[in-house]
Amino acid sequence: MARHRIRIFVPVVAVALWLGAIVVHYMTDARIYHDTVAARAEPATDRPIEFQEDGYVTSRTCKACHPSQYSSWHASYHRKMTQVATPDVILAPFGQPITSKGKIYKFIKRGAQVLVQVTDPGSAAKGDTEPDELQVVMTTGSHHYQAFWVPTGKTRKIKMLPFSYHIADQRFYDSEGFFLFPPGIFPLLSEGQWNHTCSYCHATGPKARVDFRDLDQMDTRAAEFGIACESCHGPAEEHVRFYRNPRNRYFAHLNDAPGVSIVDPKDLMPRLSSQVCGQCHGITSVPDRDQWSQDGFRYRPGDDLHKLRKITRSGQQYFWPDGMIRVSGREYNGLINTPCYTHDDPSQTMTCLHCHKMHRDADDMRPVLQWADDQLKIFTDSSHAGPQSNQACTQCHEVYEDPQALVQHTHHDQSIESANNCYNCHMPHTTWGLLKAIRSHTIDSPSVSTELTTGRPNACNICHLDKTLQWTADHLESRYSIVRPKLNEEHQTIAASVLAVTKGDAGQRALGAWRMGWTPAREASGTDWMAPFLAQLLVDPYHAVRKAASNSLEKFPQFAETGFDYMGSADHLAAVRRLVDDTWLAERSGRVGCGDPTVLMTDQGHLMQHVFEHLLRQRDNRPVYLNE
Amino acid sequence: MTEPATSPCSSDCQGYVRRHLRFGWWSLLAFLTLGILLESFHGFKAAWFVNVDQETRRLLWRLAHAHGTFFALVHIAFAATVFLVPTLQSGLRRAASWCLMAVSIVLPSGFFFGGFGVYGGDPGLGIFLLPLGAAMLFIAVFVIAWGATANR
Repeated sequence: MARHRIRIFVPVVAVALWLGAIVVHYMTDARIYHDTVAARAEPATDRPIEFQEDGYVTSRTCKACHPSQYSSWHASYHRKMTQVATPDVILAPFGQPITSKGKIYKFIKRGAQVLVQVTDPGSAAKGDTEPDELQVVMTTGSHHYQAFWVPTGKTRKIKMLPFSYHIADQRFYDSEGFFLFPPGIFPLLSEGQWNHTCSYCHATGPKARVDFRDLDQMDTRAAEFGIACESCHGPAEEHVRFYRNPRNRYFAHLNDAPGVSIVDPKDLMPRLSSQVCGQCHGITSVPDRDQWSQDGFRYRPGDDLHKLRKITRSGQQYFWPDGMIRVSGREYNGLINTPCYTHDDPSQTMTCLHCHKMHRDADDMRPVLQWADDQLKIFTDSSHAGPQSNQACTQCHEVYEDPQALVQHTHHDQSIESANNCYNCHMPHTTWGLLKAIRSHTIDSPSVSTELTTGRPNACNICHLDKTLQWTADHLESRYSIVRPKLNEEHQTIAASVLAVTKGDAGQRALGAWRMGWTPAREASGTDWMAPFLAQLLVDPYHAVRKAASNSLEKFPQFAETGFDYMGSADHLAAVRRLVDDTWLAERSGRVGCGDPTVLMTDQGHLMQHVFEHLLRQRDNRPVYLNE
Repeated sequence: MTEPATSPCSSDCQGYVRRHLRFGWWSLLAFLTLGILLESFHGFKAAWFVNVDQETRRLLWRLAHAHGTFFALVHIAFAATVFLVPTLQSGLRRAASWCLMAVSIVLPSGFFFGGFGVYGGDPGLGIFLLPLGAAMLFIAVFVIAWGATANR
């Protein structure tokens, strides 16, 4: 009898357990998908935290069904824009002394924590030799440089350490050295900057939760740190709940149906699609600061961004005088002024996704870091294959797929690849950020008139550094029937690049310094006249200009090892400038017949010092803030 | 002189023992070979197998290997059970044998073919063999357990 009971009991229990598990699974909220480790951990109290609400479920949930997309996102710099600081996350070396603002800092590891020891030499002289220790709680960036955040001790308000790590140079610089701001001005070091400003775009679903009446009260949180899946696809809780049912999933797989309760930017109308990127890559403001601070952004992917936020379209801090964006990271502002975007045919409207690819294709053979650099789409079925191929443009402008038509259009020999690249003429490097020039995302054509009225360099003279605006105007008239504007004597006789690096404002000087190191420009313009101009820029008042000049000088073999520190003392800057000048002069001695008055070179190959100094006296010293 | 030991297992019973031992050992060899193949994919870092976005395929093929190997051992255990429990009724023995044979093909195949045509985190359509295999496995084990518990 007992055996008979067992024989019935065991299978009944097994089936009941199986059915029970299914019922429990369906009755449980989608939140069970959340990372249980993160959920169990005690939340930090002295820094912003991750907290899922408003339908956000985090990338850890998305991974289960979208491993490929998760994998490419995981390799992107978007993910690492904001990270909780652990030893693995810190790109800078540990144990190395860093001198900044009169104090000495040193990163140390303690278990999973990152600490920074701070020694004040003034206090040490008085006998206080014990360094202070601060815990580094968060980091920003992993591509060009990395900044570090420590608690202020006032709620979740944090502040930036006064130095950041330059990844390519593998060294620390004071943080203001990474931005084009007038010397002595650097607002990012103020307490709470991440909470009320950086969190806008460096986290997913941020809520600043700042009490603007008492700025020490900041309870900042975000659904996820970094720019994660739901930044572009929207909160996914409903989507997850729907697709927990395998029937729904396989129905979608077999019918190639669009996802339910989720946004795919590539399926949106073109303008809405670009707005997904524009929510961060655009300069926007919210109508109600207090509401935003408490509840976060109302905009979700698929919404009309322009109805929910104000798009800033002008202003000295970010724009050229004609309204073209001048700083990096705000490419949406450039795009929306582009004829390819503004025309009326939605099927022909250019979007970010015509050139960029947010998830790397399986057949993309580029190393992952190369793809991650700008997340550019790669075109493989053309003679101009590559991430910056003309095919991005010939998707619509098909006529220029024909090499002969292209050469007739560019008036440059087919063998000069850079001169037959659409980008170089129509998306020239006229924006600034991350200590380098970046391509304009407003597609336009070279115009001398525009340069005269805005000061923005035209594409021809970005390559032909040794040519005047007169030369450019003549060519544009003869080749493209563009009416030549009236030009003064300087523009007729002195190269546009020389005028930019001597008379220009800090932004123009930075761009000018950068392009003297740009390979196509160096090939087109010759380089043996550049050193004295770059030497002068080594002592420029703006850190960013000095950095651009030193980077370009490093392209010259004889100046590759000057030991220049663009954040160094005035004496150091002057000494390296003298070194460069003297070396260049010594190389020129005895050479005749290499004069070129457009770049201020005499027949003996010397600099026309009086003209040079005359131009320098006219330097535009108005303060420039290119606030990325 | 001693009497030769006579097996309690009838000739029908011995047929099942031989069949499942044969099937068990050969399928063990087959699925161990699959395991070696999968290890070599790891060894040579075959991108279509070890890349992060191939996680679903990797999991399914590992499951095919693990289940196949395990069922091979189950066949050997079943042969031993049939030999040691001669009271197992002929009908039950036949049903269990048939189900076990089917399960050993259907379940690993479901995992293996589910590794083709993967939909992101979801297996390919081969995975739909699994419920069938699971049901047959349940029946087989139930029948064996029932028979092994029967009164002599």
